[in-house]
Formats: sequence, C-alpha cells, structure tokens
Amino acid sequence: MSALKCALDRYSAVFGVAALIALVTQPLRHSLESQMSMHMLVQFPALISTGMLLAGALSTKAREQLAQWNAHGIAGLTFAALVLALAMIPRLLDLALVDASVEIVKFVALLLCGLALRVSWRNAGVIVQGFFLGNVLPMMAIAGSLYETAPARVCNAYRLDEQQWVGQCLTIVAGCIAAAWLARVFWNMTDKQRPTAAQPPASLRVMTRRE
Amino acid sequence: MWRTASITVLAALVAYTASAWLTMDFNVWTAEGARRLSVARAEVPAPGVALRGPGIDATLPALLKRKGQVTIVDFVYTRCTTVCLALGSTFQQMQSTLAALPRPDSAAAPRVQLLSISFDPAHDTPAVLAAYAKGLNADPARWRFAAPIDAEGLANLLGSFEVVVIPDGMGGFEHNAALLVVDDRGRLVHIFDYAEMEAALAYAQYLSTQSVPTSQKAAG
Repeated sequence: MSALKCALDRYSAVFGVAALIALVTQPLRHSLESQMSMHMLVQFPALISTGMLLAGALSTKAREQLAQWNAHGIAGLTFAALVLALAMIPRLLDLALVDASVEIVKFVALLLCGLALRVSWRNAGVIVQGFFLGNVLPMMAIAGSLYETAPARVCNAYRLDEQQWVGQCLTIVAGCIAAAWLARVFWNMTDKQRPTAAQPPASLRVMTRRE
Repeated sequence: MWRTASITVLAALVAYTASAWLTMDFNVWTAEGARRLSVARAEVPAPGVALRGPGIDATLPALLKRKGQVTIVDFVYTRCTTVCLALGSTFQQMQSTLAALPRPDSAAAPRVQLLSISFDPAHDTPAVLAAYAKGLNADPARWRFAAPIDAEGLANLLGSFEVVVIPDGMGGFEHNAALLVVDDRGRLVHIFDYAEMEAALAYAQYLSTQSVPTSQKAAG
C-alpha cells in the first residue's frame, strides 16, 4: 500500500499525463460520453483525479508561489466549488457533445478543479474544508434528487431511466463523501485526545531520557 | 490575504459569466429549454429538404409557404409506442378542434395545418405513413404525413430544428417531442410542449391572421 502511494507520489505527473491522453483521445472519450452515467459519474471524476495527479508536477517553489494567492486554500476551494456547481447544469452535458469549444472548456475546468483541490486541501484545515463540503455536497444531493424526480428528460442526448439512476448515484455519492470526511475528522480528533496509547507524551519521554 | 480575496472574487466573476451564458441569463437549465428560448427569440428557416408522403412530393420550405397558412409540425416514427402516441392523440384533438371552428370561406384551404414528419424514412414509406394516418383518422386536407427522402436531408432537418433522436435501448427511439409552429414563410417561430396544445393552437391561429408580408413575430 505504502509502496503504491510512494510510486503515485513520485510518478504522479507521468500518470496524470497518461490519464489525460487516454481521456482526450476519441475512442475512450466517445464511449464515456455515450451514456449519461459514464459522462457524469466516470468522466467527470476521472478528469478531477487527473488534475490532482498533474498537480504533483508542480515544484515546491511553484506551490509556495501559488500558496501566496491561496491562503488557507480559500481561493482554490472556491474555484473548485464553482466548477462543480457549473458541472451540475444539465445543458452543459448536451452542449459538450455538440460544441467543441464547450467540451474543451469543460475538460480544462475539471482538470483545474482537481489541481485546485490538491494544492488547497491540506492548507484549508477542518473549518474551510467543512465550509467547502457543506456547500458542494448538499448542492450535489439536491441536483441528484432533481434529476431523479424530474418528469421529463433534462438532457436531450440521454434517456430518462438513465437520468433517474444518475440522480440516485449523485445523492448517494454526496452522502458517502460527507460520511467519509466526518469519520476522518472524528478519527483525527479522538486520535489526538489519547496520544498515550501509541507512545508516552513528549514531556514524559524527555524525563525518561534524562534518567 | 488581499491576493487570495482578489483571486477568489475573480473566480466568482468568471463563474457568474459562464453560468449566465450557459443558462441564457438564468432562464434555462436544459438544452431543450435553450432550444425553445432561442427559437422564440429568433425564428429558424426550414432547410431545403425533399419530403415524400401520402399526397406529398415536395421540398420543405415550399410545402409550408402559403400566404396565411401556419403549420404545426411534429416529429414521429410510426413504430413508436410511447411519446408519439401522446403526440398522435394531441394532433387528433387539434384536428377536431380546428374542424369545429367556423370558417369564413369554406372553399379555401384551412389556415392552420398539421404536419407529422417521420425521422425513420427507412421504415416509414408513403404506404406505411398512409396506413398510419388512416389509423389515426387523419383528415388529409388538414393533417398530412411525410418523411425526408434521404439520410442527408433528414440530418439537415433534424439539425436545423434541433431534434435529437437517440436509441431507447429497446429497439425504438427517444426524442425531444414537441409542437413546432412554422409560419407562412417556412420559418420555425415557436416551440410548444406537447402538453400545451391549446396555447399552440391559439398561437397558430393568431399568426395565421397576421399574415402581412412585413409582419414581425408577435409574441416572444
């Protein structure tokens, strides 16, 4: 597991470029966009993840310079939230299929969204992260329930049954991300409260060393 | 901190501009909504497409260009068992409503015409369309049926009127069915939902009385 993580960190940019080439080229792009579920639930997250991988190519210096414009990750997470809000508008899905410039903007925006998430997330801290997720996840769940309950198709290029299924998935994904984040925050809090379980407190360790 | 604040505000402005464009100033959220609003704002001329059907062998704009005549067009395929059936019964109701109207000059052709265009010409030959029309009790003087004669014309017509046809996964098609009002110059001027039959009829009748050569489109 750690070896995989190590390799991911080291070759993150290489993986990112490979993933980007695969996503842009015609056979995969066409098949991902042929179904609404693949378009929203596979291609969108894949582009965001690719953006995260590409962020690995940034040098430490570049990251420091970016951080000056991104205190507490606020600018980056705001940008990501705005991109995700636009990605929920159903007209975008239809337009991306027929308008090449919309497709290009969609790709670039989702890649930048992933990049912004990665360079901002750790700096953000629990409060800014919570604010970001508190905006994005309810929006996603509401969009999902609208897709699910809409009596008519919201995309001319996709079927109604598929739209209902995508709506259910969006709601479930939003719930899962919220649960995972809360579990992690709770875990970190309880972990800090009982440091003795793993090792004695620093003050105690210093004393034992002196003895 | 001011750098973060300014870049955040900039991102918000860019996103606002993008969403205003995407939703046509926050009026529509779907491609279908955008299609209907665009047509209402600027009429779309019918492309030159050859059509054939029972009693029809003509090209499209010419077929619809007749002074004072307004045509309500829909797109169907005769094998359809879902939306087209609803559209068929809507057209039947419109036909009987129109037939019940008093006509100032009974010798003249009806001012509001109905035209069902099939997007499945390979199956919907004139003979098939004639049988379909008979099954729906269509009055040939009022409600006609046709299909483009070639795939190129079909694609051209569907593209101009933004009719999107996709396979429904069960051997049929799903399509953005609607009532398309075409004026006497062969221009698509308004798209109504097929649940808005009365509004479509009222609008078509209004347009047919407004047929002055320089007439501007009335309602937006």
